[in-house]
Amino acid sequence: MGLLAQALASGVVTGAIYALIALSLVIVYKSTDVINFAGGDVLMASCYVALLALISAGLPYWASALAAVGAAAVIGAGFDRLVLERIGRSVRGQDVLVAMVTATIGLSYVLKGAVRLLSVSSEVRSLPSQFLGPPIILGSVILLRQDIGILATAAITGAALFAFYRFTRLGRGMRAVAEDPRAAALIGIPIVRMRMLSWAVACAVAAVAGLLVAPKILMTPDMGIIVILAFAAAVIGGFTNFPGVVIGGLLLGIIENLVACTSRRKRSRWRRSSSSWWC
Amino acid sequence: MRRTALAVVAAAVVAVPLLSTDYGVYLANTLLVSGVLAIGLDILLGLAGQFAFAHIAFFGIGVYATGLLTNRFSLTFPLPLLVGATLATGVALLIAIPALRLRQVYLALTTYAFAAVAQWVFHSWDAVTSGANGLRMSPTVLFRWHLIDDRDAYPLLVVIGLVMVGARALLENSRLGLAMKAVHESEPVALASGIDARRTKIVAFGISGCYAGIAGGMLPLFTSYIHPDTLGLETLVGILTMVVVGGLGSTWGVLAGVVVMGLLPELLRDLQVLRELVYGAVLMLAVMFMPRGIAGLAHRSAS
Amino acid sequence: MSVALELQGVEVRFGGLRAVAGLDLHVRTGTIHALIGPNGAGKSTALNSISRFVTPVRGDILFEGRSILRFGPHRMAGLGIARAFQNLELCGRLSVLENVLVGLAAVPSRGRGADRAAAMELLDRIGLADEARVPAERLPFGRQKQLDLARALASRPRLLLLDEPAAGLRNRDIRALDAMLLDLCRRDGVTILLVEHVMSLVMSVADRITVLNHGEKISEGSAAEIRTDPRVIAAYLGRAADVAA
Repeated sequence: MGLLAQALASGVVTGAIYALIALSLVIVYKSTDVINFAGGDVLMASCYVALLALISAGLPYWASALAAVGAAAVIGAGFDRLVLERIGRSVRGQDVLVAMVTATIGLSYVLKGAVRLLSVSSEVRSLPSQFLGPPIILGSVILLRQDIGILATAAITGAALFAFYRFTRLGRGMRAVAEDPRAAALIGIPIVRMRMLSWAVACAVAAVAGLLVAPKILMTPDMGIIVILAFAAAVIGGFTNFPGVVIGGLLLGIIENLVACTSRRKRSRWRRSSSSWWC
Repeated sequence: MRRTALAVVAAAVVAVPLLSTDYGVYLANTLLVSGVLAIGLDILLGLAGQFAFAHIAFFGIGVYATGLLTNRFSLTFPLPLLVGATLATGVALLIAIPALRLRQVYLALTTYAFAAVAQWVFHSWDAVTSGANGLRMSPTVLFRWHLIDDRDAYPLLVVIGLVMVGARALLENSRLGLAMKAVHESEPVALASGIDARRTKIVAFGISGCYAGIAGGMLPLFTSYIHPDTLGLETLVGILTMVVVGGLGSTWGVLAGVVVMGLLPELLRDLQVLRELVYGAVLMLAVMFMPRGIAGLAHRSAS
Repeated sequence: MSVALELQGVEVRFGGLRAVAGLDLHVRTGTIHALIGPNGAGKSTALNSISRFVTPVRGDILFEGRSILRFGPHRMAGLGIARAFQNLELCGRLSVLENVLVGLAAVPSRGRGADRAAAMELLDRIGLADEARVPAERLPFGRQKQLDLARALASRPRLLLLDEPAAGLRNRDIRALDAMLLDLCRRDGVTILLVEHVMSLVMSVADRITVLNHGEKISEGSAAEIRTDPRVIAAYLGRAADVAA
């Protein structure tokens, strides 16, 4: 019973991170019809931006985090504006999807390659956790402060996204473009700018997820592989529906923790690199 | 113009074993395997317009099936290759039937997941694939001979490559090929014209899987070791890059892409760290500035 | 006179919307039958249900006495039903000739050369033979619509479904279309079901006209009968003058 409750609690924490990454993928998909295979690498790159800011520039944590999120937003917006826009204009029909997804694969390699050039990437690092202190014990469940911090930050990010899309003019405009670009253009919404903003928001969300997960795992230029699980979460959630995707993420986190804690089998390298950082 | 190009290619093919170093022959062999893989991927992507990632899994099935049959039963070539290709085709068809019920995005994601699962199986099925240790493959048996080195394998690989390019040309000009193009261009038009779009896509998937399986069967002809790590997304992206840079839907373009992108890493060998960066940049720039790849450039400069 | 196509109480729904509400229709063999009505009347949906691109929730569709509802859309060409599209639907990057060859898919091949010859003959008939090697998307709009029609005709259909073939065409091209439809019907005996907004074309070629509004049949008859039907005029309201023209 205690084990189950613990697995459930840990599952919600990892699930929250999956949900954030999955949200990032879904925002991109809804606004530009693209599967972003670089989602995990944007996350990875922004973690390294934070690391550089902390270590090389000696900035305080909050400033480094801000730099990471900002850098991710710039990468996203720039990629959409410079690459995807161009492809959208020059490629026709069904091949647009092939070309755009290929471009995200290209971005993924560029980001990984660029990070590998940094000297910090050759040693295994981790970002410091901001939520320190003794764990909180609720009955048989032990909650790390860090986990509570992750959950709170993810919840706040999710709520902020929801409020942004629901209540702000800009957010509603972005939603309108995602639903029906032609109609949105007719009522004067600048679709090109809205798409660019969607990419910026999506990548910023991925960066937040990265900052949350980086203290728990070892940072390597390959950590973006985590995106596979976010894809799974997004698919479970229906890929276009925000609440569904959040539920998909949480579900996946819980299932994985339950499986990991009930059957501790030999771990192959494949598993270690992709998914088993929570136990 | 065309005849000169053909003559140059033929001369190069003949010159490789005569003039080149051992490493050069090895490189030519890998290019031939990549070529068959890339043409197969292009049948699905460029001809039928279906975006799927399972190709690398079919390749893996071909490699392991061929390698294991040679190891355990010392079957003579080309039997192991044919069994591997059949197996790959069968699995491709099995995957295609449910996967093609899905819309494009989900098709891409599901086949991506399938490729990951297949790699996991290669990695974990110790009893058969020897798992993470990789598989040692004994030399190919050709009746009474054993193919030991790259030079032995080269002529065979060239023949297989030619057969596969020829088959692609036949497909291009057949009714089936036209049906694939029609499905790619406009599914409503295809349906209204009496083309069973679903069946056409499934067949495209199967043929594409067959190419991957044959490419897989070509590998053990000149390599003695396969590790599951080489059967992942990285390799698939490499092949995808060749197809996209070469030009979707054009056999000559794809082959040009195979040569260019296959030799690029050799040129970058001193710049190991930059490899990923350059690869990614080439991929992005290619889709941005050459929407129809090398084939498109050649077409434009010709007209 | 035998009936080529029969719709029995066909109902098509999109979510909560009843696009076609219990439509009965008889199209006699060897005639041109027009389906007209205001925008959103359900004409195209009715046509799409006959070509099996949408499936009715109720009712039956019979072609030459047999129900076609159990067949998918790709079976229609083989049965003898071909369709052209309202919006430009072509294989844009394929050549003009290849587009017609696509249309031959339902006909058993008589070899590559014979197929090509048959396709060229059709192109010759619509005056596109000189552009056979041009990618379809490079043709001007009107020519693309003609090509779509040629593709549909390639399967030698007995029933041809046309969704607004005159939309966007210039007057000269509409007159050519007019002559062509009549020729197809009278000379080749093709039955034609025509959805069309251009009334001059409908009035001049249609043997019989069915008027739809809100998914229901509100009138049926010859051109002369339709023109004077008060219900039709009411449905068209401001467009009454157009009908009378």
